Amino acid sequence: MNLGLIRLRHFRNHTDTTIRFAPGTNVLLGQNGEGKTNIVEAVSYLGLTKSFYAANDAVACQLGAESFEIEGIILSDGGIEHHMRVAYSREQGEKVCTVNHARPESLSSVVGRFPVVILSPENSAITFGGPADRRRFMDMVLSQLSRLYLDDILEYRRAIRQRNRILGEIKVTGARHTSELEPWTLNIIKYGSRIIYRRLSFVRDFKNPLSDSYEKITGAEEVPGVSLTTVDGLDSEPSVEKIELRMSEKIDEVCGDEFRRGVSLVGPHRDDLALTLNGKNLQRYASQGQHKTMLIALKMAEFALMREQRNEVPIFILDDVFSELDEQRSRNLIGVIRDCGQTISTTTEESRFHGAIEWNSQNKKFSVSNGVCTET
Amino acid sequence: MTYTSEALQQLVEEFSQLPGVGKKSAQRMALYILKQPREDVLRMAKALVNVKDRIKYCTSCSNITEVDPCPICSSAKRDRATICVVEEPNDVIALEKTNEFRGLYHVLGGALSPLDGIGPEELKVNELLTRMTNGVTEVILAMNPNIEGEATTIYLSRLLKPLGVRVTRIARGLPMGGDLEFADEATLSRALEGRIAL
Repeated sequence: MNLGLIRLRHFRNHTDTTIRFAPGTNVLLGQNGEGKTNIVEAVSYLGLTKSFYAANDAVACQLGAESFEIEGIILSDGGIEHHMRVAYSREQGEKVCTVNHARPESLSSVVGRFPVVILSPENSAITFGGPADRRRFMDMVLSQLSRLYLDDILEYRRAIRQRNRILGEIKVTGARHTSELEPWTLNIIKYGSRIIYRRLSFVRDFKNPLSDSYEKITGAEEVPGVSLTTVDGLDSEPSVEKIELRMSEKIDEVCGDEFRRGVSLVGPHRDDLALTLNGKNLQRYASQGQHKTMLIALKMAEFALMREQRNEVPIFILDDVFSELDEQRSRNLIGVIRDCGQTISTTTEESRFHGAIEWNSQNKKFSVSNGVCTET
Repeated sequence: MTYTSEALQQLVEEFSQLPGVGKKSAQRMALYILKQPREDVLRMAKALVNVKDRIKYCTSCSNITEVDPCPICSSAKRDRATICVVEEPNDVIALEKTNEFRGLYHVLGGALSPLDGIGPEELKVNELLTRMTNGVTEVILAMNPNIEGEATTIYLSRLLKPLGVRVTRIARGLPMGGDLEFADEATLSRALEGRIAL
């Protein structure tokens, strides 16, 4: 995939900005608050139909403007050109998306059509945060690879909420509506086991790209590890049926606790993606720099996995990544992104790229100042 | 919003209570009514009151009807050994349109959903169980294909199987006239799950 051109109108501090990106490395340079991240945020609108960090669309409207519009021309790896447009109007409170000038079935059907991998400071919760943040990361990657996974996750969440409601009543009243609980228990086993199965195979596929990426940045100083903490007592490659069986055994074991506490205690909603460095727990022992390196490696592995399992090479966005890395690691990272197809990076320090990239028709740098972007 | 007539305002408010009708549509509908001849409006008002006055629930299948038992339950042409269980009266209408099903129905009045406070007592589950005594041999469960429908299917099959009736569920999967390649992944995989031996 290749984003050839993007135009932002009344988007954040960009009144009307058109950028022609190069097919290789693109670097947006500028001081803080000049509008670099706004440009990559607009790219995320084209890929995900939403901002990668802002919770609502209204805040992305330029102050005093009634609407914003983002247009992009995207070249698929097969050489076909697509026109994509996302527009939001403050008055209607509605976002409209068109692909090749036609309205798609729904916004969600557009997500993933134009694959983007985004690495930004907002992602730091993946390594610093709790299990829920890591589950969100896993779910986000897996849903982009499989619609069915997304479907299962949504059904599962609903089944858990329904089941917890009954458990909550049991906790309060002490009555045992076990016959009413059973359908929901069977549903969470059915959907939960499929989710765990997918996550386990995801972790297996993820191991090699992760250690490759980590090694490329650090030069084999440390060995990263990743595993899924899930329902215990499973062997390394269990079938869905095995997981179903184990889940139902576990639920039988803890049913007393579930009645007492009023919540579901077994299932993928309690999974964690355990991250280690040289076999040691990352959360507990890693330094800031190691966290940052792990995060970059996770995102690079996501990129590698998407590239392998999808027919399109995603666009890789690195928002303000270089500032927290030491000189050597940031050099290594620049070396890596040179082989990642089209990348768009933002940075305040141009010196990081000195001598590492040759600026020509393949690689471009832009300076961003007060909502105006110019090629330099 | 301010109207020059209290009657109009009242009508707009009534219309906007309807599902899928917002303030603006309600206003359009109210102004349309205003332009209609008096007898047309009276006929409409009468129709509204009639559905409340004349329609009741069949004591046997809980479907909506004007006579009890309902025309389906009292028909001599229907197969009394088969009962198809559905969530709502509109499901009966949909199934009747197929002209394929010759058995009786049972309308539950919804699906299990603890979050909405709907348990077995809120549904016509006991009424279904009491119908099992009269020579019924098969119960077809035709719930909506969502998690609540699935839970209801599981719940009912656990209750019905011990009574010695055959319990089946309707197949789920591909729509007719659709090409396989255009089906979404979720539908396709559910269709695979429900495959049948030839």
